[in-house]
Amino acid sequence: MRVNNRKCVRRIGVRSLLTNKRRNIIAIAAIALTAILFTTLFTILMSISSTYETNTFRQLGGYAHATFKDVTDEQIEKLTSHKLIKEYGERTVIGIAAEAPFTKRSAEISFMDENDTKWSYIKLKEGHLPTSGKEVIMDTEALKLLGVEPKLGEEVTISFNIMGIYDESAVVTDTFTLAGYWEFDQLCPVHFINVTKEYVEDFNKMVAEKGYSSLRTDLDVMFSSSVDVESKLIKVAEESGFTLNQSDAENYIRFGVNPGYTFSRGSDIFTPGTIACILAFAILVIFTGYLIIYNIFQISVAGDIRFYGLLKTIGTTSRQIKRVIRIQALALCIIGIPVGLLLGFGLGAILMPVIIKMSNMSGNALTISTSPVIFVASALFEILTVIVSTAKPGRLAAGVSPVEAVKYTEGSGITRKRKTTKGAKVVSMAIANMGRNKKKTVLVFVSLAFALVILNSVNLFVEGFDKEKWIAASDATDFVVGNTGYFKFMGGERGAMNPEVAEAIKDNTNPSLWGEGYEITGYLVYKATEAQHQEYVDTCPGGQPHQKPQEDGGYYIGSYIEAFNPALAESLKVYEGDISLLNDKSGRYVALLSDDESFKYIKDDPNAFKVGDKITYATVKQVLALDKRTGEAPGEGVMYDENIEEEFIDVTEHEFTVCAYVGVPYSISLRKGTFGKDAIIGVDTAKEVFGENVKPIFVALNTDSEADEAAAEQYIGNLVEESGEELGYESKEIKRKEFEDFKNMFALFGGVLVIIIGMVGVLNFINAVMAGIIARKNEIAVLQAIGMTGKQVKEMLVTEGLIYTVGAGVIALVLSTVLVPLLNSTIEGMFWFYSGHFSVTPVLVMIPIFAIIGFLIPAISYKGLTKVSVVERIRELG
Amino acid sequence: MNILEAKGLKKIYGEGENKVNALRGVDLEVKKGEFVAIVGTSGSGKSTLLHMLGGLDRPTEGEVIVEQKDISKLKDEELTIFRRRKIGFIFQAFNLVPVLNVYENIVLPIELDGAKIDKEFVEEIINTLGLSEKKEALPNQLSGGQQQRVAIARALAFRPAIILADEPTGNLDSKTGQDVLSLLKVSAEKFSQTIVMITHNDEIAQLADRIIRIEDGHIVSKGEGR
Amino acid sequence: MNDIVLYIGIAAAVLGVGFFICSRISTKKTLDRVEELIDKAIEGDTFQESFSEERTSRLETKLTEYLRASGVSALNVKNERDKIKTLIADISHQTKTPIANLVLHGELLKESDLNPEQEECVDALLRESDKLRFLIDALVKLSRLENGILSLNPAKESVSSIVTEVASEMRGKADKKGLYIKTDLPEEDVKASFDRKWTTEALINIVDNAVKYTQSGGITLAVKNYEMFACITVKDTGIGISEEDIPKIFGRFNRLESSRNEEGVGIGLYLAREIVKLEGGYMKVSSKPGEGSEFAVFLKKE
Repeated sequence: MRVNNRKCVRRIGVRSLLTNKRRNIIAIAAIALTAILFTTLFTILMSISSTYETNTFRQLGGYAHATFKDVTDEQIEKLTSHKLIKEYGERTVIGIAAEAPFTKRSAEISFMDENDTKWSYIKLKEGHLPTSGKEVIMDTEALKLLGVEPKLGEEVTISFNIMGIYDESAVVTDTFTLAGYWEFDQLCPVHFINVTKEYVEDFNKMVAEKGYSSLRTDLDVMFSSSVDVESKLIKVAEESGFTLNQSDAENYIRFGVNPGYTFSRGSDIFTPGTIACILAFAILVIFTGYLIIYNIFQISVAGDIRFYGLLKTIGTTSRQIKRVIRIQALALCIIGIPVGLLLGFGLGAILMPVIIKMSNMSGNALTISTSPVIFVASALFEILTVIVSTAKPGRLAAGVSPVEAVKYTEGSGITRKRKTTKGAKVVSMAIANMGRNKKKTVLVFVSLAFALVILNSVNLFVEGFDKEKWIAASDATDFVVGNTGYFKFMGGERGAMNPEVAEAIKDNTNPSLWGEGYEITGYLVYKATEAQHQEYVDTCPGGQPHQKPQEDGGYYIGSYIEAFNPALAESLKVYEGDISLLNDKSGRYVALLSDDESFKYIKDDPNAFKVGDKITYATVKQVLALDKRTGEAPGEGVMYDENIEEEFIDVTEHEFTVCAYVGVPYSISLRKGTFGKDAIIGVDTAKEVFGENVKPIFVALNTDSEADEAAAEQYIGNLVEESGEELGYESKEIKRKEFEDFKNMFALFGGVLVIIIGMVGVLNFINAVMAGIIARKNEIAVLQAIGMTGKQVKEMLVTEGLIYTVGAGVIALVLSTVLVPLLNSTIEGMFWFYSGHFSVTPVLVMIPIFAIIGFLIPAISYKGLTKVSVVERIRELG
Repeated sequence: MNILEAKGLKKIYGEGENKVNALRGVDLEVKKGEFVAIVGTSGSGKSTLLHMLGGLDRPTEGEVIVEQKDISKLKDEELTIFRRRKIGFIFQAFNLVPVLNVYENIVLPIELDGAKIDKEFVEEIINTLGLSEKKEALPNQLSGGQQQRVAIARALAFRPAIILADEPTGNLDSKTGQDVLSLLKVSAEKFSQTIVMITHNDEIAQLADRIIRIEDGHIVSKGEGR
Repeated sequence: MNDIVLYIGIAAAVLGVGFFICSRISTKKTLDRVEELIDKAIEGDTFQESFSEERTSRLETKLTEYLRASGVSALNVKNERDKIKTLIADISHQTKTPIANLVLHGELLKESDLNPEQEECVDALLRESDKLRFLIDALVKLSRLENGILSLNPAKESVSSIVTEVASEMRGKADKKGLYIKTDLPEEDVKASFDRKWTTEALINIVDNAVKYTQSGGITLAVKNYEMFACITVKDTGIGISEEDIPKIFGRFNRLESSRNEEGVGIGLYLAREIVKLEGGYMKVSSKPGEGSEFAVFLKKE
């Protein structure tokens, strides 16, 4: 149990704080700066996380936690009465429109209740939810595709297939009245067209009359939190009397968990590399903050050492004195931190759009997180930094001997043995002065030089971005033009490239290389041995259906085949073999796909095909599936896992010879892959073997000159815009723009960082100069009294300032020169698009600027000094 | 009974060429309730001796025993608290805390100990020393004499057993000095406090029960009862 | 989510309980130490002071101050006692000469020619001087005893022997008055624990008192042996004491109506009782007016 003397110590701390206004302002500035850095970091982190989240859900079409599929009203009642279910929504899908105009993105016609509508990100711009009759709501893009004006009351005619039924008789066409609409979200995978419940009920009647089974409702549910959705769902189902396992049971119920909640979000974004970066940045900020806050307090404590000695005399213990200093620091934090939090948040918000561009998330999903975690974490880190920074000065004050209070000699705190100066030369005096408080001097040098080194490093990094490396690495060709489905995989069959369009492009550009890419459509497999099949089953993620082996013991494993024209085949990277054989009509040759990593193991893999081996590919027309549990065909919606056995019927085999192992550049690949044996064949061979199933999907071309490239860029760009076809393209120009944006982002980041650290360094310098002057106020006064002119005093101060700044510049220069080669090799290893080069230009540029600062600040401070007369300054000595 | 004892005190400052032998083996006893004056030429080591007695500084050799306790054995923190409760200091340059007002300065040692302030007693002291008008004033608003009176009030308020004063009237004119010192003597006698005071003023030295003369780090005369 | 809340709740509860227990233990420790200090202070003992910011440390400082300042400390007590010791010694010493002179001159006066009235006066003077000397002696002795300046040293002594001693000592005085002094001792020697010198004195006082208040007959001293106590009885055939007067006779300076005229200052019995009490024994008295009194002194055997 201790004596209660906190109030007294607090009073001393607070009052002594108020006497030193200059130091307070600088300290608050320093604290705010550091807080800004922390807050920016955390704002960006949290915003990335929330943006990712939103992005994911919008791409999935909704953010409900989970769904029970195809449930009856009774089942709905049972389920929704469970206590875990916080909210629920119903949706009945009655039809899909996948034909024109919804070829690119299909439309789903359904009834959604209020909750479901909300959870599908539908926010009406105008109008209301459909309530009666044939009211309908849809998005603006759908309206545009249907050629309808976004005006309430407009008539809309839609044709769609009855849900689940795919023959002609199941097409329904009906006319609705637009009751409301919303802005289309580019991320949304489908167009939602929502009708009334009334309509759905009528529709169901109509469907029953036609002899089809009635349409079922899906129940979307929300729990109180998104933690562990799956087990909650299972609990609800089982406790309500349903089973999720046996698909044939009476009480079987189908369910689905929203994939957005099953990812471990953390590991997606926060790779070890990212975490290392974040940590490095945090440490950098702490270090910067430490430098300046430590210095500020160190100087102020040293100047107040007599005061602390006095306190010790009266009976203030070391612990209490440390507390005084801590109270002062924390009081300054109370002002500095909020300022820093606000500004940091703003800065983070400004930088977020730039970051989003870098990731593969769409800019539309950008959400700036305002989670309190940001502010709490930043404040905590800041307070931690402050406490750590003031620890040593606190110890200095606490360790003072009480005799200090009684000493009448005026010194800058610590008496040191001074070597006799050879005369009173200004420079030697200046140097001697700096030797007085070695710690302070070192600190100022370090923070100034540090800022410069960071500046140089950032500049080095950004300038080293090699554009051509970037472009060359990602592209095989200057241009790739194809159907939009090729670039944006949206599922299902991709549209073919119109050969006429291809011709037009070939004619209107001046290609030095003309390539054509084709895809073999249909269900394509290769024949595998039992060993190969076993390997496939082992490495394949997720459950695979069992396969009934063929009579000769072979298994079929899905694969893709891409076909190139001879010109395009030149772009392939050959690991082994001879690709010219692809065009050899004497045989059927195929080049198996591999990559740099995998190819290393091919030689030793007994299951791998070797160059010269035969490989059999086949097209499959029919597969029979059997549910082993029921002995019959699997019902609707059953998962194809090990409970299902597949039997391949109606297979046409074709034999090929492996002529090579190749790697294909991404930009001209199929942009998708299997775990089978994907391959490349020549287009002629393809047409011969697979006939109609060879679909042109893109063309790729190179241009020779810059002028040609520019012309081609313009033509293709226009073509893609104007033509009614679904076209998209990639070109070097686009890549260049991407690169510029990327580079600018880093430049922005680095710039902000440098500015802040630079400000810290300069603040430190200002503080050191002013404190030094104030501490020596009396000395200077005495010097002037004995005959040193004002000009000479100014000279002395300015010399000191210049030594600091220019000296720091020189140190930075030396450090940078040493550091640059080191950085180069490290960064080149990490970032492939970086080309090392030597540059210390920023430092050289900054040195004269520093010189100016080193001159101005002491000069201005000196002006403030001379406002008070010499005599008054001497009188203050007592 | 000795309230203060010094045995073989030696103090050396600095090193090598700059070595200063401030005290060269000092023995001293002070009885409880005595008023002892220490006189000597400047540089004789008087201040150093006083600092040792109050635990402000540690001797190079020797012991300082206060109230039968060897304070040279105490740790820093213990020594500070010991000073807080037992010793009142009055220095030549007042040494008031500039950010606290008169009242707060006076009760500071009490508050540092978290003890209850005997308000009546403190009021009495303030009145006796003629500071009632200036209770809320800051040190820089007071004259030299007033500041010294505040320092004395501070040394009396927590009723320390020992009062150590180093030329307390050095910065005051003779009349003020005499007043201040009379007040001190009367108060100390009233509360049976022991005073050890350094002075170069004969008149003041005569107020003491005993005069100790120190010269060049040695005690040359211990003075006996007068 | 709910799991996390639950865990946090449990952790908070555990911490809370932990803090509570710790603070109770700490308070208990403090109070224990405080009690220890006060106990020591009551005994007048000093203790090792510690200087820390613990409440107990401040308490120690205050108690030490208090002890130094107050009369409770053993040191102060000793000082006070020393003062009293000096005073008593001064009284005892300095009054001897004047009293001796008083007696001397009285006797000288008596030897000269005096008429009956004058002789009476001189006799009275001598008597009073005696009384005075006796009084001062008794007071000095009493004071020394009460203030613990002189202490009793009980030892295993023979009860019979001091009875015999006292009897022979007082025989002279008794004879003068025509009274007898008999002793009635048991065959076996009875031993008890008492200070020989002081107990003899106490017994003398009692017998003296008995002689004073007996006109005819005599005094019988007897020794009775009990389990834990030995008893010395002094039975006289004197005027006796009434029931209501019995408690008063042991009072300081008390003299009964019935004995105003006698010599004595009324302190002998008081002194005797104090001595016996300090030895760990007690006194008893029974009496019948006109028939005599019996004083019993009980002495501890161990």
